[in-house]
Amino acid sequence: MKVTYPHMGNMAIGVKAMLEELGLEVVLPPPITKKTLTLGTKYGPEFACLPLKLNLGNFIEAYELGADTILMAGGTGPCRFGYYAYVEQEILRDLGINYDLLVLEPPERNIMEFIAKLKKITGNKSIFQVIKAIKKGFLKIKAADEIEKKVVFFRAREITKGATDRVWQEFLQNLNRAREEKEIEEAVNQAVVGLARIPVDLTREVLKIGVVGEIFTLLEPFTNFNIERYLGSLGVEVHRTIYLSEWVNDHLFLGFFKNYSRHKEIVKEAPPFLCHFIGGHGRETVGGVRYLKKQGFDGVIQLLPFTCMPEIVAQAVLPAVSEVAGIPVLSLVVDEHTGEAGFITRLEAFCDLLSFRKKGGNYGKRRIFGG
Amino acid sequence: MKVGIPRGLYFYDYYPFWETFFQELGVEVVTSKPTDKEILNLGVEAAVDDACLPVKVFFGHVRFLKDQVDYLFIPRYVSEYRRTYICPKFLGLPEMIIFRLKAPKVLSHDLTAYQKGADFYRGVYVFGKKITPNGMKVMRATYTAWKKQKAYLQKKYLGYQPQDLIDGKQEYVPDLKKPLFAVVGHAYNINDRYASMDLIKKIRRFGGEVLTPDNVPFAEAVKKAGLLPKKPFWSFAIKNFGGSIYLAENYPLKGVINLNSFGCGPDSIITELTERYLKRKFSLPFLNLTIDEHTGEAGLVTRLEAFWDMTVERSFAGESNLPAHG
Repeated sequence: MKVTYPHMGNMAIGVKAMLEELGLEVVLPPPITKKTLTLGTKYGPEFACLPLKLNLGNFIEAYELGADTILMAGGTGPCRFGYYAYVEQEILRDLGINYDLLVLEPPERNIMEFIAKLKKITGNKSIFQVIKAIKKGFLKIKAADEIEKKVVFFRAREITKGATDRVWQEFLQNLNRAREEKEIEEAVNQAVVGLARIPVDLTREVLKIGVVGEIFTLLEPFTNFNIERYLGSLGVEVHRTIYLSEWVNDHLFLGFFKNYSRHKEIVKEAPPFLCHFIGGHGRETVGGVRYLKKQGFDGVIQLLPFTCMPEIVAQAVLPAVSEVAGIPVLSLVVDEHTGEAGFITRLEAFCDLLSFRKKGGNYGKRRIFGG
Repeated sequence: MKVGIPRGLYFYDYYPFWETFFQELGVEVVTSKPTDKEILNLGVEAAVDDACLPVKVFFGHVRFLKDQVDYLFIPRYVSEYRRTYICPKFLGLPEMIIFRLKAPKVLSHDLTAYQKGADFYRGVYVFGKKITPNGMKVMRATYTAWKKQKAYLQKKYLGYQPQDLIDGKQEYVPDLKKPLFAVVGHAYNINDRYASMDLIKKIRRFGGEVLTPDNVPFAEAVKKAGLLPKKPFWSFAIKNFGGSIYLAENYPLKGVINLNSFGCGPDSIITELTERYLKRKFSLPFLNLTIDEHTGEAGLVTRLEAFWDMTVERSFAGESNLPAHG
């Protein structure tokens, strides 16, 4: 059994560690490229959302490398994600690509159900080994998130451009290679030291932008044109409302680690603008805007794939939220288009607007209009 | 008190219920006019760009009604049947209206049957208590409304379309002996004469008759949806998929016409599966029509005529399925 699974940001590192600990052979799809997107859009349903198409591309590419089993998460709706695996399998079957499907449906009642399902994959491994494997995978994801949160600080303030990214890439490689918990810790320490050595300009006026929206477009740099790195190079500190480890803790471990995620605090901010959950991350998006305002952010960017249902609902109420909370919000829809320029122009304009706004009325008097 | 019910989304599923319910409580019910160009323009102006056509149409109806009534009635249909949802857009509908259209006078209540089917009517009761403190009166109104709704459902199972029953001026009796077509899609698209470009009427004018998933009891649709590897968690996905399989099995269909609205999330996935399963099991002709804000009727008519020629005229002329030339 050669297991494969779709890419989503740094998820691959954690899942790979978990599956290999369980003694499974993992065939990772190649990193997402234009080819992946082309394959996905060619065979995927026309109006399906972007993540589905990219997953499909991933699976076709992984099949060429010899994978024969898909591992995916499921869901109980109403977001389309819960049905991805089955549609993708149907499409692949008609293409003559036969995969076995292992779908981990979210544990509705308790964590033991999830573990029992995992055990189907693991065969004769004991429950302790299974827990150990999950723990290892989770630690890796957690470590990646921890460093990523630090990285954005340095990226916005670094003096030599690209110094932070070098440390970050090196860290990801070390993390991927780490076999034991000790090595993970080592990789983290090494990265922290590496970051601390980067010369930074602490006097620089740095904007703080929060990114909210749909999880896949937030986490996968390919879909959002690496928005975090780009904004970082403009001298903007970028934080997300969703980090993978928090999501895993909330949805797969059902909040096993208390006080680890900010999910509750964020969702609490959603009413009266959204009083009911609407699937996906719609409520987190709406709540996120007010949450980020309270945390002292200057602006918010909403990222969503075209036709994403929960995010469209959120997008519809965001102008009202933005008005009440007094924080600018920019909604960016990502699609199969690969023209970066339109995206970047809007980001730059938004950053200009925020920095004018931050400098306040005082700046307006001295403002010189060019042209 | 005047309550406005916008003629969009679940209007065609629940209008008889709510009309009776409000009338029993002594509330005057006002509905907006059937969708036309004015309503669509009002909706497209106000709604968020990426929303699907029925949501835009709904926005239009709300804007049309807003100033004519004391309250707008926009319940939050969370779930119609056990363990299913409707669509994220239905879940956020009241907020979208309140904050997007700045229409604060909205009567809304969460109606959900996710845990238990009876919870739906419990929701109706709690909602009724907001209007009148008299609990007995609300119960009686709910019961009368439920009976009316049941009669409405029975009529639909006989082959009547919601638009015949609600909008129809003269009594139309469906004739199932004519060439039958299954029109698969959401009730709010199929029955909206303007949005669907009067698809049902057009087929009837050709001399055909139409069946929709509305004509299939939900329990039967659920059984057929069992063909899928996982039961869909959208109730109308079950209706559309299960309904089309049920219709194909039980009626001598000439073809299946699928009516999608551009950007509909669940449809993008379920249409894909419906088409594949229908092809595998029945080899029925399948026509996929996508509707949008565009108002060019010609494209739809051409495709419909071609489909009609392909499926019906050919058999009248006694032609075989072999191509006529070379």
